[in-house]
Amino acid sequence: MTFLGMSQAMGWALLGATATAILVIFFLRIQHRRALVSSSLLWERVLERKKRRSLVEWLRRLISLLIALAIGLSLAAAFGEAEMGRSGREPRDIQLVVDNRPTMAAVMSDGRTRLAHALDRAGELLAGGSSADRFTVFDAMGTVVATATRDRDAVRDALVDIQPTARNLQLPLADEGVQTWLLTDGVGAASVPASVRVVGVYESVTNAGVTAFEIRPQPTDPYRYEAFLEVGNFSNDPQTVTITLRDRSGVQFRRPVDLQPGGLYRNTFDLTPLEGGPLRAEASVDGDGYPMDDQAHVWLPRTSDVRLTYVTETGGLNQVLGAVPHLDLTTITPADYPTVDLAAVDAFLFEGWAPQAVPQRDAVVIAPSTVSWLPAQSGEATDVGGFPFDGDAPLLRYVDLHDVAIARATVVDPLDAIVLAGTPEVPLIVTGLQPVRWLLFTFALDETDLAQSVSYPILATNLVEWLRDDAPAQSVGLGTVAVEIPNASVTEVNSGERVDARAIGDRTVFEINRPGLYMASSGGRAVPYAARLDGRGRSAVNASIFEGSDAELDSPPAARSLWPVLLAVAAVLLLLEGLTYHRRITV
Amino acid sequence: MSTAAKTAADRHDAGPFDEEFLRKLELLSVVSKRLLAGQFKAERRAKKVGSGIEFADYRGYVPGDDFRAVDWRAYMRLDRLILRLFEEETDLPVYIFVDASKSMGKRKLDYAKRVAAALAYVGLSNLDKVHMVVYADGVIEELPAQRTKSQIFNIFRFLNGVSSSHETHAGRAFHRFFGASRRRGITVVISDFFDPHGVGHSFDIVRYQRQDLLAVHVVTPEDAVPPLNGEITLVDSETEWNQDITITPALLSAYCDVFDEYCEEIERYCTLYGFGYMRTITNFPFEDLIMQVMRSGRFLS
Repeated sequence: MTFLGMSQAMGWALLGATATAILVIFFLRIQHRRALVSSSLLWERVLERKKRRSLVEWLRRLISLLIALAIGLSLAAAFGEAEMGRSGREPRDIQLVVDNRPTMAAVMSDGRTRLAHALDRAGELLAGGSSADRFTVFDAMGTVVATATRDRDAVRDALVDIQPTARNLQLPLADEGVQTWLLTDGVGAASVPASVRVVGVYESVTNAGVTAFEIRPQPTDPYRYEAFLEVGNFSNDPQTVTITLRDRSGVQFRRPVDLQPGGLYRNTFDLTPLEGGPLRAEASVDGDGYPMDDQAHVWLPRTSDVRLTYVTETGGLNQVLGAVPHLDLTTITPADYPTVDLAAVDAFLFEGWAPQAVPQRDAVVIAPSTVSWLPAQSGEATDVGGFPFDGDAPLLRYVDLHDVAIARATVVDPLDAIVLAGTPEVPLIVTGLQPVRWLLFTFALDETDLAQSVSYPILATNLVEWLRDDAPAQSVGLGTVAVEIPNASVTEVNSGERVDARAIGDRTVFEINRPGLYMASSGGRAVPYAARLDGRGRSAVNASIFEGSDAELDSPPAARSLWPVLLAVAAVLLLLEGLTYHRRITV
Repeated sequence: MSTAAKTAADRHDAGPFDEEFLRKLELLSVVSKRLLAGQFKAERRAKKVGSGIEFADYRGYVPGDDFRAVDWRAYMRLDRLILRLFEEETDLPVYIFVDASKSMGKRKLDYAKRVAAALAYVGLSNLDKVHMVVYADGVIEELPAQRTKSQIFNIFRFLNGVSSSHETHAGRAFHRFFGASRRRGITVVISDFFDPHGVGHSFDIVRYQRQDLLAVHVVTPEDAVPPLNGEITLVDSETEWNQDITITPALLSAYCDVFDEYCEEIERYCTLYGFGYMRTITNFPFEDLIMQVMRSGRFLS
């Protein structure tokens, strides 16, 4: 017997002390009050008769003592929250692995998810364990949810926080003697080691889901997009799946499709007629028990031209910018800048000059004069060549600057800005987000041979794209997402709900638990992220090792708490004692 | 002191026998005379071969018999010596024993005193000789025979001075009292009969003395049904014997059974030997008890 309320030694000490106290009290002569009687003659006769029944009296006394002991020990054991277990059993170290992969979000026939059932089973395992057993709880990723503890209430509290996440099953390593229990729906669990006891929470469900939804530029025109959609029927029966495509303005496409079990529907949609923004694909079927894959989201980049106002005295870039498609170029002189209609401008390009006031749009500045909203100038550098550059930055993608030479450049202090080309001591191309999104070339175009480089048109195209600042959403899986935007705020686009995010270094990290379109915003820059299940495996909710088998809960030997029973026993014995006392069955 | 003054003084010394008690005694006296009318007057008769004038019986002559009692006519007819027996008329004494042991306590003793005084008054009213004896573990005190009604105040004074003491040993008291030559009479014993030496044993002594016996068993309600419960130490009022005991309803019931059996034992003894037995409880009016005694014919009959 073990005690939940105290240590083993304390429990036995309590029982011993209780038994001793009862025995002492039982045999202890209590202080009797004196009663004067006329004569003891008759009382002696009465007592003499009692003596004749001494055996019966002895038995009565013994029964009374036993009942008193039973009552006392029951109460003491109940106080110590005693429980029965296998005698001599050593305390066990048990690892509970709760499968919280997305398929565990499938809704079973009782309206509760597989994960909810798994947590119930985990609770049963906890209740069935001995108080001496130590439990460690892991999620499907092998992340510790509750560290090894005997405090089962703490473990139960930790279980509540487990949510579905898009990760592969990764069982924790188990030392010798450590039992590992996996609570899973059995999807993708065929490789579970034999030493792991698997508790099944599986029930087949109806499911049709979007397994792929991506947009990509059309080969003929990078500014026109098409979407690829793949929908599958993962039910065990043929289903009529309704496929819907909708954007901000409403439904753009809807079609019912009959799909056999395992059948796929694939189609490519021309998105040219659509404006940019969120785009959602839906696959619906009657009785769908797995909502996680019913929708998929993308972000359609803006397809309209970028309205760029080129402020220059020389107009040296007119030729190259004029060749860039989807650019609406307007060239003005600095003198005309104050009269510009901002409503007709998406971005400014300042060459050899910059306004003292902060422009109200994104700005590209080439060899400017000293202004307060740009990094301060501290000198000049001459004959700069062979400088480093960030070829992964969107601006410099496919651009080769290795052979570019710069006769003279202004040295600026980049501070918090990002140097895309050059060194921190001699930055050549710098970008920043404050107070507006800006891009600075510290050298004049006539001080370099960049225009003779083959990368020059590409740089011009990238520059326009940089100004467009709109790209298809980055695909991310469910779970922890890190975006390379410092201190961003994250919102779910469709619902507008904010997502808890925290800054780690120059990144922002947040958790995504359901598919959707999320927007990370910081300093006027917004980047969309499309979170979805990654692949058909996530939608195959019925591909379980339990499919077609009678999986039973493999529960550990029960070690039940006895204190409710002991309290009931004590109450019954007290009642019995009360009744029998008046019938002289006990003393 | 004149007779009237002495009577007044006696009445003044009546103590617990107050005016109310005396009025009840007068009433009892009148009633007793009516009840006893037509039986015997001032005397009792005993079947004693003697000088009486009323023929009683015949019996064979044995050497030593008085020749004057031989029936010569019968001898002539039957040729056998036959004695004629006559009843000798004599006044029979009344011996009233009052138990004054500790077990009687004040309540039972006071009740016993009243009963004793009342019976004595009735006896004196009928011109009997009344002996009062107070006993416990022996004869504690006795009042010589009182003959006249006016001597009832002697009895009152005597009884007033009685208090409970000592253990009970009625046999020793009877043995000592009747050890002296006592005439046959009526012995009234007023007691709770809690005698560890045995009631039958003590009554045997009375019986051997060929005394007629009237046993008046005085009990209190507490003797019959003790108001006890729970863990107590029983203490004997006489012997200081004590016993720790748990009084339960069942045990109390067993005691009541024993008590009833004990009373029945005494009554059975008395019935067996033709003695009178009256059991009374202290909250029962003593005058009603006296009336019952009268009606039973066990006293003065």
